Amino acid sequence: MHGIDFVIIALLAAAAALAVRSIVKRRKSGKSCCGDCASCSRRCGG
Amino acid sequence: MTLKDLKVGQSAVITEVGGEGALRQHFLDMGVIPGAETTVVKFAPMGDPMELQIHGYELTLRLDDAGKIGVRRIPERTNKHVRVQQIQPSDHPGLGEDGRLYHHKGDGKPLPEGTVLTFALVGNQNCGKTTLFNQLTGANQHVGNFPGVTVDRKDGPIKGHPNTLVTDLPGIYSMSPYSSEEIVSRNFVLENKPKAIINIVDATNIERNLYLTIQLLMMDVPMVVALNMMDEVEENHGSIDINGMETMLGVPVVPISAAKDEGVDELVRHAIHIAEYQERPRKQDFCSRDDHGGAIHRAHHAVEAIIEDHAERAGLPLRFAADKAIEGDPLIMAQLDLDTNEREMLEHVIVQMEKEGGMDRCAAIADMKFDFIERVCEATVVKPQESVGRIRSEKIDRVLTGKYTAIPCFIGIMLLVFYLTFNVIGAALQNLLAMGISALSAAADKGLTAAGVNAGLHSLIIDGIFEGVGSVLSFLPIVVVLFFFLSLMEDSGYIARVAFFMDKLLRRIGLSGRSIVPMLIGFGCTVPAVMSTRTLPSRRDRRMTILLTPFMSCSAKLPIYTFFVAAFFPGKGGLIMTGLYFLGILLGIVTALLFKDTLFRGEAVPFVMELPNYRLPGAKNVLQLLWEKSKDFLQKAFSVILIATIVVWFLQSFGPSLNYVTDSSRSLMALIAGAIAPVFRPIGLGDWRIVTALISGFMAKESVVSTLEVLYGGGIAGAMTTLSAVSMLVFSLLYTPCVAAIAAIRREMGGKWAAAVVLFQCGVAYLAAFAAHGIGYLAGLR
Repeated sequence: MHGIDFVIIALLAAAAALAVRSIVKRRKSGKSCCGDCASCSRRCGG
Repeated sequence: MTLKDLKVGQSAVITEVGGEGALRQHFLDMGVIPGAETTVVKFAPMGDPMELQIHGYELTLRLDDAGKIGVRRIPERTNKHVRVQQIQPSDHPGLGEDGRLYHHKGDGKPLPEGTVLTFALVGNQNCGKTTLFNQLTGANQHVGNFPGVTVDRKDGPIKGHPNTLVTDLPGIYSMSPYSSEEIVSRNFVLENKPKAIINIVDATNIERNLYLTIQLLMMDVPMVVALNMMDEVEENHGSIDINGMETMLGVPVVPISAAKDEGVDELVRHAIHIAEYQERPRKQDFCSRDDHGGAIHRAHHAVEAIIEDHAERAGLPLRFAADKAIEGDPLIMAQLDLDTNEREMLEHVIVQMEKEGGMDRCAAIADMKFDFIERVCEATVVKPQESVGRIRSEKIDRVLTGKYTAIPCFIGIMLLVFYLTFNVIGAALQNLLAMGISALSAAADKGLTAAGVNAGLHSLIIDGIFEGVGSVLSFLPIVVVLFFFLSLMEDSGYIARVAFFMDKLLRRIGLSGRSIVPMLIGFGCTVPAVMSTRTLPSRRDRRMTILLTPFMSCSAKLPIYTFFVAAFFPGKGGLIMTGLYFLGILLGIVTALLFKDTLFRGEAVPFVMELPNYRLPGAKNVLQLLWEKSKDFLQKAFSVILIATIVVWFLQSFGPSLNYVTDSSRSLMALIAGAIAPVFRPIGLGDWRIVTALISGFMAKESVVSTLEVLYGGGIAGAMTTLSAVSMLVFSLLYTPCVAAIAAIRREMGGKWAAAVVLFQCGVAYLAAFAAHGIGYLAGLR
């Protein structure tokens, strides 16, 4: 493996970590959030 | 004679309000009280429900419920709801502000510096509450035009005032314990004890809105009334004597237009002032000695005297507690904890009031409020001409809710939406995006080869991530376009009409018209659909609607349908997908009929609601919504789908000894999914790759496509038969919703029900796919 491979691995690992963090954050929001904020926010009574 | 015996255009005066408990209280809170005059406006296309005009606004009622309202016919309404012709100049009371009239700066005892000023934003549905919340806090919230949406509250500080916190409470019509939203709002005011209330009132429907205002005044919390939509009142040549209204209500009244951001700064100044100085309402006594011989007035004050110490101990505002004690509100009575003697005294007072006033206790309390509202409106409201919005709505409704045109229009509109989404706009944009993603993938492939990147990594990036995530991304236009049309229908007010004329049909399957809302939302996403069932007052209706929502194919499944249609049924996209949606609805109806007489025996919730005017959704709102939807989809693609893609690639590229394999049939994935695959053989899906894709669909439905692309390497058309594709479509339509939807169901109904939904949906999907496979085989499909 070359240097470029390790750079790519690091980038992929960072992307995966960010993705997992995003998923965990949404789950913890306590709203059974599917991430579809547009659907939920508009549901609040006018 | 009852209300349901009246014909269109006939007027009557209400003599008796039947029903019992929460339903009866809801009738009274909506203005259906003895002595009120009403005119029948129209009936829904199938003859039920009916729309009537009462107290100057429109209401819909089911015929069964209308049959509980006794009336006496009158040739024409005698109560013309006379209003002033012209506003006379009057003194400005100066409530809620510094000034020589009421309150000098420095007077009074303001709250300690640094205290967070908490506000409850309370108002009817459709009065512009969320628009005002947006203006106050600067948050981007979308405004829906349908009455009855989710109970979740929103908080935020007022722009420029970091020591404030506004809580947007659900839209409610009264503080009676009829629905969960009313209880949530009531409890918030009583238990969280906000420093002040901002009561937003729709000035174009002031008689209706002031009912809640009076109940809020009784809670003895500093309050400011925001008279919204004043621009519409003025446009229709009406006006309101603000000073006079302020004097009569005893709280600051601020005219605003939340949509145009007019008057909001003044509202903020007043709100902060009353909160800082804790300026409570100057008026809480709404009963008149002249109404019904003073019976209610005497009774109310007598009850206050009896319960005063109990109310203080319980931390309840006295006037509010007395009101509720007369109505027999069980939650308040429990908190007051009166002894036997006091309860007996209370009962005697109330019975005497009923005897002298000639109406029962709940009707008497509602009547007192409506009488006061009438006095306020007579003195301070210059009646607008019939609003342009109202006239326009009536013209449109002649077609969209006409006896013979309503259902054909609805079917036509839904078909048009699907056609434009799948065949025209959505499809065209999707092709463009797919071309762009292909080009990017090819460029990345070239770049990685030139850089001499490791073969395994190269495969992960191109065959895994680009293939998987890219395939899902290309469906963004279709999802957004469908969502756009659904929102347009909702925001314009059309969905309210759908609930109105679908009520009779839905009752045949054991639900009410209000259940149509969560089901239509379910075509977008199951999670908000499940959450919006909270607006249904009955637990039975909520549960049944939640169980039927998974049959409404959500937008996340669109990539699956489009993927298979493109590969196996080119040119027939619209037809196949419309067929799938209708299959889902049909099976939902069958399930409902089964549940109706078994698991959910009982009557659907009574149907009492307002029909808002049609409104053209603002372009800014719509664009904002599309942006939010796109952002959410992209976030999902680059989080859940990305992880799922990487996991799938890993499992299919490595064997049980964690050695890199080139033949995926020797991979970990093949081992795991291969164990389950035989179960799916009878429905033509006995390939481990398909099983893997279906399992990944539990995480997010979009993952099914990305997984298939990764595992088949883009060659699915050659690896599956048309018959299998049919099974796949039917199975995907019906099997378990994604984990987020199951979590939402779990939250609403508990773990056992959530697990039951997973098993039930998988079972239905298997049977339906089996039937589709069998029928397809007999029809010669291979």
